[in-house]
Amino acid sequence: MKRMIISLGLVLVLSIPPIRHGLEESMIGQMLIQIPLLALAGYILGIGLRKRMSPLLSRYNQYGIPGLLIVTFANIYWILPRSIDAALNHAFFETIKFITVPLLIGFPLALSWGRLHLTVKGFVWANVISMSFVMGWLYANSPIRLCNNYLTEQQLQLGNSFMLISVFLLISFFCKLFFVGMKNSQ
Amino acid sequence: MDRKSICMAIGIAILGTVILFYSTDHFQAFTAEQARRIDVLTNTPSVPTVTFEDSKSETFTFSDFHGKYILATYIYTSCGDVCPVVEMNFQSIYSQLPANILGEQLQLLSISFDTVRDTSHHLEQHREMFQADGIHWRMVRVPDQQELDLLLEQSGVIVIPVGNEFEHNAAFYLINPEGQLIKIFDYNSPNQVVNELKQILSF
Repeated sequence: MKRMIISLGLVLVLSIPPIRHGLEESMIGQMLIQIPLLALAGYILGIGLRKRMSPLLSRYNQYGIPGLLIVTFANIYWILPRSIDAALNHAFFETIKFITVPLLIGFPLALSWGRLHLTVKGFVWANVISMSFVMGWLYANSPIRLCNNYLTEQQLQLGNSFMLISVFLLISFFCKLFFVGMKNSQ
Repeated sequence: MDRKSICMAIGIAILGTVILFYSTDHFQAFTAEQARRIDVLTNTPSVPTVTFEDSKSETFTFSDFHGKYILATYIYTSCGDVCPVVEMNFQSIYSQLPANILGEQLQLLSISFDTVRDTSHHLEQHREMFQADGIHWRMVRVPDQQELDLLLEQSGVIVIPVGNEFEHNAAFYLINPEGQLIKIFDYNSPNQVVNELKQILSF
């Protein structure tokens, strides 16, 4: 119940017009702050409902694969420059964004991540790291403006941020593998 | 894995692919600009009624060119970024058109969206720079801001002011004699535009 209120509260705060416009003013604000926070709201909701939905999940979301697929498709959709433009130009798509990002990215992620096999988790991380680098490189080096609503300058910043995140994740993984791995083997 | 979970996974994979397939126009359009170009091919929207003013301060509307094809582009004359390239390419198209086609069947327009700064004086300088004749290739502005906004929106042109400059998407727009927008071309491939015009106007 408490988590449900936090989750709903987060979505409501993000939908307050000045906050919404403030974050959507820059590409980084939308792609790296607003959308992740919306996903976080869904994730918090999922954590809260995870136990109660357990019997259902064991049947329909065994090993978390169906849930992971939902997250993947929703992610692909919201990373397309076209969807971002649509959300900025049409209230309808903006509403869709505020509904689908929490419910189709954060929520199923919370219900699936714990169920995923270690190999699948590793596969997901490897993909997230490599894809965010590739996406970042594409955004930073695109000869054309990808979003009509944003400047090429912001596109470059977003691309660089994506690559930075990718490198950061890679390094943190190395650290985790080396240090945590060593502790376990001792 | 449980049968139900496998069915869920397959169902989601199919549904997800179908949604992505349709929302990207059959995996062809990943940007709004590309989507607009594909949409125009099938919907051919009619251009709004707009009054232009050219570098000689003459005013006219789209309907004055009724019966002719119009090839248009959107620029502003103090642009130092993409517009000079667009106009160079426009000049290249202009120079490849035979005299009997130009004026008889085809009108070229460079439409400025910087209504305040691009007075007829500036447009005239711009015309001289690109050696346009000012009749078959005119440099124009739209004095009425509302009309301009409507025209830009309908063409899918988004103009964002940045200090003294503008960021905008650039392309060539082909309008048929009935006043419908029928095709949007990449600004960087003038030869493709010429080839398309050759087919339509058979020269």
